[in-house]
Amino acid sequence: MITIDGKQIKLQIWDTAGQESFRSITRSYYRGAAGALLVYDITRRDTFNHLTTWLEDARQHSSSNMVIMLIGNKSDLEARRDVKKEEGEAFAREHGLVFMETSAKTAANVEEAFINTAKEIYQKIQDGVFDINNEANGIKIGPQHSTSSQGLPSGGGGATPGGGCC
Amino acid sequence: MDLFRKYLTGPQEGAQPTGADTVERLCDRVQSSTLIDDRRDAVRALKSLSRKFRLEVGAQAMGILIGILQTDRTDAEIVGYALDTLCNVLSTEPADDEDEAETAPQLPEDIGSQFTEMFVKEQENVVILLSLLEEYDFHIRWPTVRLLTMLLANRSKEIQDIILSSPMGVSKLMDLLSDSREIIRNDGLLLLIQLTRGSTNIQKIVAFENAFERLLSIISEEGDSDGGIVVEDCFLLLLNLLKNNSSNQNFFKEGSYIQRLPAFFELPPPDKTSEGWSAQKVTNIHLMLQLVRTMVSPNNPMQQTTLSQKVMHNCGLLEKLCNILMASGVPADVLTETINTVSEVIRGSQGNQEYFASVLAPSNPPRPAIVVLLMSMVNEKQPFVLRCAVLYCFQSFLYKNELGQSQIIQTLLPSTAEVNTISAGQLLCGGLFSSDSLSTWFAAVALLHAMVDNVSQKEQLLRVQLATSLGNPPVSLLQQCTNILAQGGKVQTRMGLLMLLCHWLSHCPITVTHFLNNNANVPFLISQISSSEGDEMELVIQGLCAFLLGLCVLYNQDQVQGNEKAYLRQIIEKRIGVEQFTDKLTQVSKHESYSRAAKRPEMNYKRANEVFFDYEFTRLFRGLENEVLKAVSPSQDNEVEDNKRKVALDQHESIVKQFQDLIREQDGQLNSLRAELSESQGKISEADSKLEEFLNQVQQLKDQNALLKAQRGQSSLFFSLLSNALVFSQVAVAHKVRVMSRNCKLKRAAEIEKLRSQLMAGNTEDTANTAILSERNALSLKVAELEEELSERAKEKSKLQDDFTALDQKALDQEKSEVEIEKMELQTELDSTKKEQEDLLVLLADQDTKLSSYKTKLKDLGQNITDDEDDDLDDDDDEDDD
Repeated sequence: MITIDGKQIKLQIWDTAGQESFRSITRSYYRGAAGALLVYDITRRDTFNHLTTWLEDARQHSSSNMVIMLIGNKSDLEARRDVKKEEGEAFAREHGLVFMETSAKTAANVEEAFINTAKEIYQKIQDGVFDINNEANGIKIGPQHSTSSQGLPSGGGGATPGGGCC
Repeated sequence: MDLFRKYLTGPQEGAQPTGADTVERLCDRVQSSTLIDDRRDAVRALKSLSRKFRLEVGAQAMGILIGILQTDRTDAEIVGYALDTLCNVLSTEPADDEDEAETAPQLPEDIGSQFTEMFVKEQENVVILLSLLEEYDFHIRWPTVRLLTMLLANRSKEIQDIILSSPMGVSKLMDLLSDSREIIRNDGLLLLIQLTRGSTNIQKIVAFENAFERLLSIISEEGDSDGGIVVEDCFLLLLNLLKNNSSNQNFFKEGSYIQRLPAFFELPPPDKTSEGWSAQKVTNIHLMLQLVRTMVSPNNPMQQTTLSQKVMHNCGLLEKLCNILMASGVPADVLTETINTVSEVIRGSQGNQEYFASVLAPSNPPRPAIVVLLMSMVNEKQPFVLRCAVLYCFQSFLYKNELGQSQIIQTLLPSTAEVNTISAGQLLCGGLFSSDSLSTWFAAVALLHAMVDNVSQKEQLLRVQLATSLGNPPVSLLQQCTNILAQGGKVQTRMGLLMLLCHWLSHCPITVTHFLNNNANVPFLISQISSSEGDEMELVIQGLCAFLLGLCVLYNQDQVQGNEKAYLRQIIEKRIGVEQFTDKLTQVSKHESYSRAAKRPEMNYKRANEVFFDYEFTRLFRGLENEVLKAVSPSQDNEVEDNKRKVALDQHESIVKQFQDLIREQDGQLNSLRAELSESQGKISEADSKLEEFLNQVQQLKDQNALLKAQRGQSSLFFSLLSNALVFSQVAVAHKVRVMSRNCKLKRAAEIEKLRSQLMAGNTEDTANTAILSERNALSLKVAELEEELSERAKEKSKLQDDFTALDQKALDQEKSEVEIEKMELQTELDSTKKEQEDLLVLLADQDTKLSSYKTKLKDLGQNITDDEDDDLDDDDDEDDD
């Protein structure tokens, strides 16, 4: 449950496997997701190199409006860094993603990552990109509250290939 | 019939081709014909033959038909025919026409399964089917759905894997639920039920695709529990998604879907109840209840269940369920399942248990639901499963519920039991001693649950007294249980009572003491254990007796004379033998019904005569079996333990001894101090008496002095003043000395008193063994302190005495010297006066001689003079002369 713009938004988060053998299962979760967090490990370049294929997969199987966020995880291991922050930023710019570095260990930026994704989704709803009455894009209006006449959209499902993906 | 006749008559006429020939011809046409119309006709013909000539069509045409699905996809009709044909071939359902069954008796039963295997060999085939789902045309979609369902039914694992690995496979199948054509939606449901069977991953994806929302809305569209078979199918799918899938359960809870369940349990309005429940409704309700139970199953992770239970209470689901419980006209099996469901909704959840305790049955007068349920539990006429369910409910109510346990036990206690109303306790007691062995078993197990892990309730229960019959004295509940046990009776009765007793005695030494106080109990158990006869169940009973006796040893605190721990151990060794004892004990857990009961809290007995063990009891037994064995065997462990205890006891004694020594020492010190005190007191009194002596001397001297003064009054005025002063000073000194010595004495007495009280305290503390060590330290510290104080005091005292004697001496010396000086002075004065006197005497003698000479001269002169006159004159003359 997070609050954006005074609206309560319930995030339904699904963690999917990042291993190659589970790729087909992961694909099943693209449709019906309003957002996704694409996560790589900054201490392992191979995970960064695989981003392209995962991104293609996501773009191919999801609605074109899905918000995708690029996350460089394990930012606490600065000493073992293998992928520069600039590289991540460049990749994100190139593919039109939002970029952040996080540390699941120290919880740095983790909440922000989800909140930023939710904000992005919320913005798209406001702009009318997402049709909140169509359940297929993973957004559902919550029960009406007497205090707020507006509906409470809940972003359904950010598919998040885990830190050790690819 | 027409075709059938043709087939039968065909060979005789010789003109008609056989089925196999026809199929071959048709296949040929499908493959070679370039015109789609021809191909369509051929496939249609194949379809019509496919039921009758399943084997032929399947063997020859399958590949061709699959080819059609790919090449002629644009023509919905031909694809539809091909799919229908495949359906017929792969079907596992037995032919439904009699004549067809007759024609194909030689077909093996698993022919459909074999064809499925062939079909699935090419993964691509399944992928083709999935892609066909994208077509909206009814003729394609519907048979595709049916075909996939069939494939899943025959080869679920393989198909599941293929669907999982094909992109959006599950999603496409999920879309079927939103198809506007009801038949496709309903068959889609059936497909999904097959698809989700046993695959956690698929279950998760289906849930992710918003299945809960869709299914629940379908259910309410269809009229909830009054709906038809579609509702049933929806629930079957929901159950598939939730059973053993904690991730989906979590999603169900988080997605606030539990809150939508109460609506399903709306009872029909009272006027409609007379119509009875349709079979479909009963099925639907059963599935709904199962859904609820899946969410709160005791096998789920604890936290998950607890949270779901809370939600169920808050959203009114529990209330709805309790309403069904108390409603009339509910079919017995629904009622039973509802009781089971309520059990799991309240199990271990305090809030829910409290709510349940407050539910009242709409009887007159209103009784607590628990009491009403218990009434049916101890009623022989109620169906067995219902009684089991009530027991489960009662157990769940008491599970981790100390308050509930005490409430139940309270109803048994004499002080609070009301005579007029039927209480839970009365029902249980009634059941316990009923002639129906199953009732006894139920009541015993129910009572057992009222004291699980609750020692205080075990102790409370000891207070329960029963009035057996008029005129006889009341018997304690414990006693009555053992009495009935000793009477023998059915196995179930004894099992129930033994389990009850085992629970009662475990972890509760007081109960053990009560139990052993009855001299008949141990011999009875011994005789049971040592008997070697009996069937399988009799062996279990003997094992339980062994367990009970073992508990008597384990929790024995040697309170009962003649039944001490060591004695019991000895008697087991001599009369039974440890080996046999162990043997008997292990028999219990070997029994099949034990392992059955140990599986889960809910009883899964089908028949009344299968009922033997209770889940909680198996837990107790498992936990204590080894401890009992250890306690009973005279192994080193026990000896070591005994030795340890002995050592501890010795240690204890030595500590006590140490303290006694200490006290003795302190006593000695006290005595010597006392002696010292009396000695110094003696010295003081001696000094006093000396002082007295001195005072006497002084007095004597004073007397002498006074005498002298009397002799020489004038010279003594100064002296008397001096001696007065001396007396005063002496009195003052004496007074001072006395006061000081008294103070000293008082102080000492107080000190002694203090010491003595401390010693007394020390003595009393002796008995309180636990604090001894620390106390001893404190005490010895105190003693040292006191000793120090005492020596100080003694020093002070001696100093004081020194001071005192010095002072005394000084004063006396001074006095003495003063007196001496005075005396000397007086002496000299005396001497001088004496000398003067002598001088005067000499002078007098001179004058006397002169006088006598003068007298003689006068006589000579002739003057007559008397001696007296002479003298007088002389005197006068003398005076004058001087």
